[in-house]
Amino acid sequence: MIQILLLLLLTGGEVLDRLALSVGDEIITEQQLLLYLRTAALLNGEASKESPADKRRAAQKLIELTLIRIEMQTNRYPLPGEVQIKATLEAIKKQRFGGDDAVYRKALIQNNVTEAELVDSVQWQLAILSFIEFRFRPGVQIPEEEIRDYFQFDYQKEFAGKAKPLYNQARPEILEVLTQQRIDNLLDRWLNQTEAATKVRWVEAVFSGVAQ
Amino acid sequence: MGLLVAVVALAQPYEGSKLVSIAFAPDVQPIPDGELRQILPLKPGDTYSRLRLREAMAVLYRTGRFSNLNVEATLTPAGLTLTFVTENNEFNGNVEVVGNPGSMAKGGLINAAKLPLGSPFDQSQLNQSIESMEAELRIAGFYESKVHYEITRDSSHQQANIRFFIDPGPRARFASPIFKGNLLLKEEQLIRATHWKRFWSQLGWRFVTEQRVQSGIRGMLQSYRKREHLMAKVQLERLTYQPKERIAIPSLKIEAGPRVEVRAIGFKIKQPILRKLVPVYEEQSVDKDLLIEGDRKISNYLHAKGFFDAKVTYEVEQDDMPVDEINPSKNTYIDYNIQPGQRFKVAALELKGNRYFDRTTLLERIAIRPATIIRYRQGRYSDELLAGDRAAIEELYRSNGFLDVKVTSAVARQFKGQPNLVAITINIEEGSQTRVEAVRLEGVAESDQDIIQGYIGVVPGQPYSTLTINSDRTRIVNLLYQAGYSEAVLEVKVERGSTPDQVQLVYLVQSGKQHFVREVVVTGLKNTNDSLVSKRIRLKAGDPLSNNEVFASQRRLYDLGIFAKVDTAQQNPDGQEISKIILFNLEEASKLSFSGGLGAEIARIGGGVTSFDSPAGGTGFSPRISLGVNRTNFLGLGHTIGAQTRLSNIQRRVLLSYLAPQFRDNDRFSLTATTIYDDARNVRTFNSKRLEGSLQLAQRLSLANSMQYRFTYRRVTIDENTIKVDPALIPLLAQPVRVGSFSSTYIQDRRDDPVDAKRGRYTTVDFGVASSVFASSANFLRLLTRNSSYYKIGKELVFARSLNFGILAPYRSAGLTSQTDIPLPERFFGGGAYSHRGFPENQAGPRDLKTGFPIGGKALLVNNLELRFPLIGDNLGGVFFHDAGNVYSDLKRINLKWRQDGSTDFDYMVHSFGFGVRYRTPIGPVRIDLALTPNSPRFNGFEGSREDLLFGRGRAAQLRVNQFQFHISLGQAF
Repeated sequence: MIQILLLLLLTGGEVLDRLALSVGDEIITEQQLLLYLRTAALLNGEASKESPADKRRAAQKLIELTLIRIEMQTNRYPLPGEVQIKATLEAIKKQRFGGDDAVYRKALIQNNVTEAELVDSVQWQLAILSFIEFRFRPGVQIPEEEIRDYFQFDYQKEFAGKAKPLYNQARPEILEVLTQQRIDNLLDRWLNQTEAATKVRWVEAVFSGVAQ
Repeated sequence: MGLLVAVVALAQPYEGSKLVSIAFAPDVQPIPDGELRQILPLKPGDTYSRLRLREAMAVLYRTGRFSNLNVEATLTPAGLTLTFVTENNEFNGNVEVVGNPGSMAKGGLINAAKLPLGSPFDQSQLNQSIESMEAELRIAGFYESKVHYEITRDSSHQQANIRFFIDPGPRARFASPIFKGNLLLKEEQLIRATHWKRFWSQLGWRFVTEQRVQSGIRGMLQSYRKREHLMAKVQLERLTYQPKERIAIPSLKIEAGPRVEVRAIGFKIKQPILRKLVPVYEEQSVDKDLLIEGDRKISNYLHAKGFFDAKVTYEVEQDDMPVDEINPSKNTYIDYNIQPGQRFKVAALELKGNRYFDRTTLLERIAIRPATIIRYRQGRYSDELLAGDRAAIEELYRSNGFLDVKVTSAVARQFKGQPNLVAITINIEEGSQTRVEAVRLEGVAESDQDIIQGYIGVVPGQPYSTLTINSDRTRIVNLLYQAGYSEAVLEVKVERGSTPDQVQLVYLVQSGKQHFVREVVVTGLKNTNDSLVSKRIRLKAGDPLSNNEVFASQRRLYDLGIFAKVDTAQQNPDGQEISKIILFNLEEASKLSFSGGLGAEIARIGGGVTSFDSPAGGTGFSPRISLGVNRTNFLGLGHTIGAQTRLSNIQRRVLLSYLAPQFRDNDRFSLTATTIYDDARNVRTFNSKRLEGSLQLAQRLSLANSMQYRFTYRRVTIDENTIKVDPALIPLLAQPVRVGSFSSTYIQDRRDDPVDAKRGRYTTVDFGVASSVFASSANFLRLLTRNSSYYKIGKELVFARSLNFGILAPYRSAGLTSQTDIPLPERFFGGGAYSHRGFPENQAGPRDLKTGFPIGGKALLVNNLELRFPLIGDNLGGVFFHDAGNVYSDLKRINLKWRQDGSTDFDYMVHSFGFGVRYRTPIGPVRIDLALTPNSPRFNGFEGSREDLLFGRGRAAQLRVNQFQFHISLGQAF
């Protein structure tokens, strides 16, 4: 009975989704912005914030992700397999929801995220991580001297509270830290260049809170 | 539990609902409804999800047709209805410029606006367009120009047509330039070189134009280069506009650089040859590439002379000095250091192991040559050439299936014990020939298999050749493009065959999506009839989108000759749509065109009008003026009417013409109606007035072959006071003539260049019937043929030959004599610059036995032979020629005899030999020919006036056509 009542309440024409941004030929809809915020809230265990400012922040992040997706599609980067996605999802469930399926599903409902949307989001997160590795890691070379300098001057600051190990013991960890920094820099630079070369159009009404 | 489900429904109210209908708002969408629903991944009956909706929105956006999208939902007990609310994009349409200064091309300004036809329109870009156009105007001297625009929208085609209005304002003039740097020349000299001042600096400064700015800089550079300062640099730093005086002051930075001299050290090469070999003189500049090119050319020069081991290096004195430090008053030497080594001769070139290709075939592909008596006195050889030849032979074998071919070479010095002889042996190990065992076609629907198979040239058993495969690929992909598969790709896989020397080919077709024409939109028409254009665009809505057909339509429109520009593009080129709107944006050309010319003829055309002196023509001078006016696109039908006049003291002519190109919308036909009034004295025997009307249908059979069908009616009257023949014949020959004839001409033109052919053939056959059926006063058949061919000998010589043959055959001529069966003006007259150069213009053939003036003949046979060769540089050439033949009194009288049998015999073959020079110009070579005719005709003439002839005074004279003739004219003789 309640269901029928609720259905009747919803029979009027309602805006389901609308264009929020275009990035080249690709689009980001308002629902995508909200989904991004809700998924983040779901995974962080926080309440979803959906103010215009939050939407704008989400939009900036989604522009970057879209640019990466375009690059991946153009150059046919591989997508993660089902097994990898499933394993990551299980890890999230375990880490965030204590492995309890009922809690997980309740959180999905509370955050207005479908499982298919979460799977899609996980799939792209994995794909993008692997893209970053494929695309930028091979270009990174860290000189030995830089690793030594880091060990000498920055290790204590970064790994505070840890006893300072021998250089050779700390080296792999330092190398990875420096490599990641370099990858981040390369990614930032690539994103800036690509964004500058791509036509990005914002539909301001979506971000000003005006309903169409 | 029920409450929980309700909460789920509230949070994700439509997720999993059944879609009952999909609507679009507004109702009329830029994409046809069927196509829209075809591409949309959501269909009624599907289960709704937010993910699928986003995908559907993305698909719609990728069509490029929408600037904004909203989706509304209405839930009913039956299910969910989605409404896609769209806002349309716009695209660039016709861009027009109004008020551009006449001296500036509209096209340049339109290009500056950067609004390509069919691309997405963005109004915010228009300010940038205006800035670019104003910049373009500034370059042309309009520093105070103002540009604004107006947009007219064609909402049915989402097109924005933009019209820019230009107020150019006053134009700036040049002013005294500010010079900086090391000039070496005086400022006045440099200003003179720019030509920025009018009439050698007497009438002030010229207006600024981009062309003048550039040509001024070139002029200054030229001044330096003439003085061999080949490294001179002239840079325009800026043009400073002074609005008060309306002048632009050029600031020029000049570095004269040193005088450059090229020297050959270690081997003597004459300076003119060295200047030809080192391209710094030809290019008038010095850079590394040119110096390396010089190095290569000198090496080749030495190799050709037999110095096969020659080593050439170059060095530039002052080369690495900064420009500021180079002393311009001191010469810079470019020294080519040459170590010539020993001089050799290629005594033998042996090809071993070649079975599949014979020696001749292989020699055609290689550069090395054994010594010959004339052309290659030392032979031709270098290590570089030999390596290139090995590669060329390998390539030839590989492209014929010899995949394992190996080509090696051995060079034997001291051949036959002689230190200067070299023998070269090229060893070819052909290996086995790989053949195609089978060809398989994949990726093509069963129904299309036969069609594509027809385009595969490779057949089983044939040698495996990448060339054939590539040509198959081109043909098949072209076929698919024509069928609208613009993304089609053909991948060819080579698989092992059943034996090691066989392969199987798999042609894998990836056709991609087929695109169709949604609509053809034409813009830019003002006066032209719409149907004239639409009939020439053969693409229709629903047709597969073929770019070939788009370009063919564009060509047909250009061929009308009434459009200055035919732009064509797909609207929304990057949009992912199934059907595309094809745009044709036309710019009509100016309707009126005028032409005029002044000229003069110097030839043996002289002699008095009434005097009987010099029947064979004296040297004369005839100034000539011609004027013409054409009105194109008459009544918007694409037809042209024109009037041309020509006036000289031997001819007055008015010609009116009406041309209908692509007659009845067929681009192979054109119809021309012509009326001519001609008052001429080009045959010295008589003055005639000709009034002629003709209607001609021309048909293009193929690229090289065409036909003309023509009906002509003319009336020719001869002024009996001017006719210079025996008085007894005047009443017969001076009769007015009416000729109505139907004629047809076949033309085959396979010449590489109609103005100055170097190879190919040219044939015409013209056959006509003049008949009383066409109201003709004489009945006769006329055949005139020409066959010419051109052969290139080596790189620079051309041998050309031409044979002209004609007959006039009277019929139903009972009661007429051979004097009267063919009217005098209809007879063949020959001789002159374009016929037989042993005669002056129209002076060949039979002559009046009393006066000696030519009276024409009924048969014509002229053979021309020419050897054309370069003389000096690229523009001056020479010819040796031999012309033989004559105009004969009858077909039966044609013969090849050398000797004239008395002064009343004109039926013999006249030979002339000569030399000519040709100076190449953009409108064809200017020609001077000098001919010597050892057997030029002798004839009976008359000394005295017309009255003397009539009253039996005066006296007979023995005359002869001058054995020396000269001709000055334009274009090759044939």
